[in-house]
Amino acid sequence: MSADRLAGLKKFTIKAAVAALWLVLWQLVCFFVDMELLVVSPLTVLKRLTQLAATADFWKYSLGSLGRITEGFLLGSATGAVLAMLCHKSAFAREFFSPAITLIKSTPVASFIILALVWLTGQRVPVFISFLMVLPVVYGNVFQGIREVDPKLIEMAKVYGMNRQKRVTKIYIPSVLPYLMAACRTALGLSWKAGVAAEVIGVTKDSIGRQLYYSKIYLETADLFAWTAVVIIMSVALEKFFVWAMETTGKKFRLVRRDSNAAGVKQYQ
Amino acid sequence: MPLVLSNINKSFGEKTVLSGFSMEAAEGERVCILGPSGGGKTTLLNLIAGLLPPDSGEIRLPEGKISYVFQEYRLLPWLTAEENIIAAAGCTKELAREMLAAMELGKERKGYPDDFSGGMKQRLSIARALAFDSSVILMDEPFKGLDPELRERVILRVNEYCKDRTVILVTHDRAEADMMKCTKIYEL
Repeated sequence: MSADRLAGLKKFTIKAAVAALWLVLWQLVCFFVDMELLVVSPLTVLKRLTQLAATADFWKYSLGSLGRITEGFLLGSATGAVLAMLCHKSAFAREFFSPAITLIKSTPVASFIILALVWLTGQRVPVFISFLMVLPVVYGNVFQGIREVDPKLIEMAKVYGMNRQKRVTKIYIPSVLPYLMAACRTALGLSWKAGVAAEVIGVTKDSIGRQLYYSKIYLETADLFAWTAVVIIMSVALEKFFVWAMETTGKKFRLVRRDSNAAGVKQYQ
Repeated sequence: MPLVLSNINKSFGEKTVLSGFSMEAAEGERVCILGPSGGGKTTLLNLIAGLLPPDSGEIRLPEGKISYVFQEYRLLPWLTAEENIIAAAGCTKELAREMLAAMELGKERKGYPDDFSGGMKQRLSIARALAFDSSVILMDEPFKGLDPELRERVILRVNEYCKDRTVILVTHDRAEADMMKCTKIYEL
């Protein structure tokens, strides 16, 4: 067995052992609390999850939430990135948008959810909330990334007569990509948390949030745990997919080293 | 048309770097700028490259483009050696490979600058400058860090590829000026 495979196996074993330890701890808590209304056992959650997954509604609700949160995330990322570019170019734009960004960052998410419930239809509220959570994170990181572009590389490009398109694709995008990646990874988690919260408060039709709300109303703790597990699984899966997509695109268009990840970190073989 | 600098003055705050400096390089001529560290040699090249404006004085450049071997390499870390040359110089893959081979980096064409030694980065920077279709080449201590034998071979190749180009060489080492067949030496 090669050293790489051995290291991979070791890493997997450690992760599996840690996961198993947490499951045992969870089971112990259940055992001592001994009240399913407060804490359900991992086995009960798994059983309930399996039952739910066998229904068509489970997929309708899960995919509904996934679609809305992904839409908000993508809109927020794109707007944040464009805004960062604009604010980097124009001091006026920077001054103009700065209070709005500060306001979005400091306002409690619950306030936005309630406002959005007044302004929008139920289905659009989670999209809007995800969008709002993602925007300042991506804006801040991309703006910082543009500022950190090595001016010496820009001078080199100037001397060698690299046109605007080349400067953007060969210098700016590869320099900013690690910042964008870091922002998106953070923002993805935030968009799930805030998006599902918006679904709970807004009791959005065909959503995981609505199911969480019903779990609370009907004191179905197993359902609450099962739907929470679904949110976690989907959030992690979306993040993994996003990282994979960014890495593949980055390598294809030569925005990162072929032997590195999208964050620009070299992966030693 | 010659490259002419007349009565150039340049200061950074209180510090005067160049005071009334003048020089001339005819088309295809090799000129060496000698001087101690902090003497304004790099500033002079940056003025010629248009990266800095002079406080006063006149700079006249010949027709055509300028390539520059920067002292700090200025390579794109996410691109391979070959891609670095093509991206900046806008040349063909064949020419990029030829220049890499001339700089004894043929086998490293798919390597990344961050994995290169200082000397290799320097040679890659030279290869990029040679691959660019320029009439003037500015070289800021281009052979620093190369061992004597390699330096000799590299200079030989640079001479070969710079036959019709004006070269402004900045160095501490007068021997390099001789090997580069510089016809004029200015001391700063």
